[in-house]
Amino acid sequence: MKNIIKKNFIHIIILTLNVFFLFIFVKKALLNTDTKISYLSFVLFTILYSIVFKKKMLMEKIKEKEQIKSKWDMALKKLKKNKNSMLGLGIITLMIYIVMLAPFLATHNPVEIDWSSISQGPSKAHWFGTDEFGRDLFSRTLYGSRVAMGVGVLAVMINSLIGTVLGLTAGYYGGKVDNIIMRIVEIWNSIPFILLAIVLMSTFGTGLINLIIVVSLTGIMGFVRVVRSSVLLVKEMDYVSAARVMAIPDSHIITKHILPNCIGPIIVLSTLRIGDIILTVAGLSFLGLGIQPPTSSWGQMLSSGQQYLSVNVWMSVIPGICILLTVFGFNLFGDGLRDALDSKLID
Amino acid sequence: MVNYIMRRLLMLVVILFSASLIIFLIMKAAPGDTATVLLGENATKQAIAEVNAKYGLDKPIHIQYIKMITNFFTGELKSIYYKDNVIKIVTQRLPATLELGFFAIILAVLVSVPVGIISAVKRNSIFDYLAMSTALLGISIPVFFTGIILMYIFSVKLGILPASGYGGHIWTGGFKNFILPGVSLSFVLMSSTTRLTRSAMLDVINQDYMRTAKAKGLAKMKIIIVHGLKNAMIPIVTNIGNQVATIFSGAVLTETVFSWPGVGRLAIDAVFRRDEPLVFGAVIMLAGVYVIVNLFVDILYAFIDPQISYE
Repeated sequence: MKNIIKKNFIHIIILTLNVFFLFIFVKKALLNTDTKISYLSFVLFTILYSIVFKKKMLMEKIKEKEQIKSKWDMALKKLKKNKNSMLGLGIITLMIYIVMLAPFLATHNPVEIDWSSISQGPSKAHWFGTDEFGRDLFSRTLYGSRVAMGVGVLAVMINSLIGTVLGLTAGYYGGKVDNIIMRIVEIWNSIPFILLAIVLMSTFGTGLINLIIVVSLTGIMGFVRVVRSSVLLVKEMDYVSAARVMAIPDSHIITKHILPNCIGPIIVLSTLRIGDIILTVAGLSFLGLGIQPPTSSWGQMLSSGQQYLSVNVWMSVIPGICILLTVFGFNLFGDGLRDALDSKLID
Repeated sequence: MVNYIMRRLLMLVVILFSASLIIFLIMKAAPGDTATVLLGENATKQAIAEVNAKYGLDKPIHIQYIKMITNFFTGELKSIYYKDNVIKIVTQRLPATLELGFFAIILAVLVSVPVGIISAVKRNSIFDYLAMSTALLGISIPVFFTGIILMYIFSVKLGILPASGYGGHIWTGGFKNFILPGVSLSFVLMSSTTRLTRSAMLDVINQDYMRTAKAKGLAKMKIIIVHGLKNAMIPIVTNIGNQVATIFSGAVLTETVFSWPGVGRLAIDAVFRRDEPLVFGAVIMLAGVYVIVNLFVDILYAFIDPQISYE
């Protein structure tokens, strides 16, 4: 028993913390739709976490009995030993909590304008100070995390999905198909991303959905290349040839025999890519091509902060540090994952 | 070699044409038709038809594309805002962007290669640890945030460097203006190249030929530079080539932070002014520069790595 608690210390803490948060925020939960959705998603998160936790305990028991050790267990062990990647994971977890609990942690309404307190430094009433419209920076920063993380995760999902499908097709079928796909992707890639983003945003207009589309469409190249080269490695293996001889349909071979071997690199690339996307989204918002005010996003906060640099430096420092910290977290964790999964394909 | 370069140049033309086609198609896919956007919702059918005829918008799409391209090359593609030849406007702004980009690349190489080598040679030392942490920070920091922080420290607080603007060519006294934007743009490339130099050197350091060189009694410096760096150079150059795109997007952001009169800023302004011909021209020309720089990087490989054959 003691051993189990010691081994799963961190999970137990997270679960207790979740229950604790659920208790103290229950009063505010029915305030408005925003809090309702956030509370509901947090409840779901907690339930999901406990289910996964329970399953993990069961699996561990079986594995201990049977003495099985998969590739994933080894990677996990290596990952846990890496202090840097654990720090990264810590930062990511913190950000996930902020995203989910933003309405409960915020001290003010992030879009409420208060002309009596404009461009103030940090104080007791406004922890991070206020911006040029007297909006509370602490609350705006919390809500800004939603844009960064939301767009980052969603875009990476679309990105990896398209990239994986193209990479699998190109690698598996080879020949002409491979040539056509790779040439198209190369040409697509030869236009520098920022220019593509400028053109896309200028024709389709700014806004959240367009922003997601733009960042998902670019940066597919990395996924295509990595998936394709791991397919090429796996394709020649005996078990794939055996499956082919047995006349198993291509779709089955691809999903059951080839895809599982590409999961490692895809996970690593996705993690590193989220950091990239957060930077890109911040950059586009900074240029005025991304999220439009009054919705708070870190890039746009920095952009308005620059205009008031000599008045209130906090307006630019705080969102800047938030972007830095989040991307730093994803990069640390991604580096650790790469080492643990030993994906040499990604440099 | 000549053959290879010729083939690459041909590829370059193909890529640029495809890129221009992609950009043209994206622009054409815009919701609402151009004439209505120009004339407003209440325009009469006749007025719309007139505008369509004037700009050739009533013709099939492939003819429109061919017309745009020929106009672009003959200098008839005019900016709506500046009322001037697109190529002329862009070439006026191009030097500022190119100088900034090259300044950043050179600065990055000068700093990151020595730092990366020292980090690799003195592995796990305090220097290594500090350099690697800074580098990891460097690839996580948004380029505009570096710019704003540098601007705050050196212009607003200390007042020793100009906060913005372009002061003429780097060789004609504009150097002071280059420092802040150059350093902030360079920081990302510097960080990634330092990380890569270190790992490339670490790969090389344990090779047999390094041990042989050591056994021969060569000076340590000579072993590292001649035998080590020479072999580690390929991934380093590859990285710089790959990072040209990052420099590009970084340049647009840096130009915005420091009010730099470059092409990136021009393109962004054109977007906000709905100046489609200028967006098209600026993007095509920037893409052209990008492709040419990449070609140079590829040719550079041949000089660094004799094993690469260009057949």
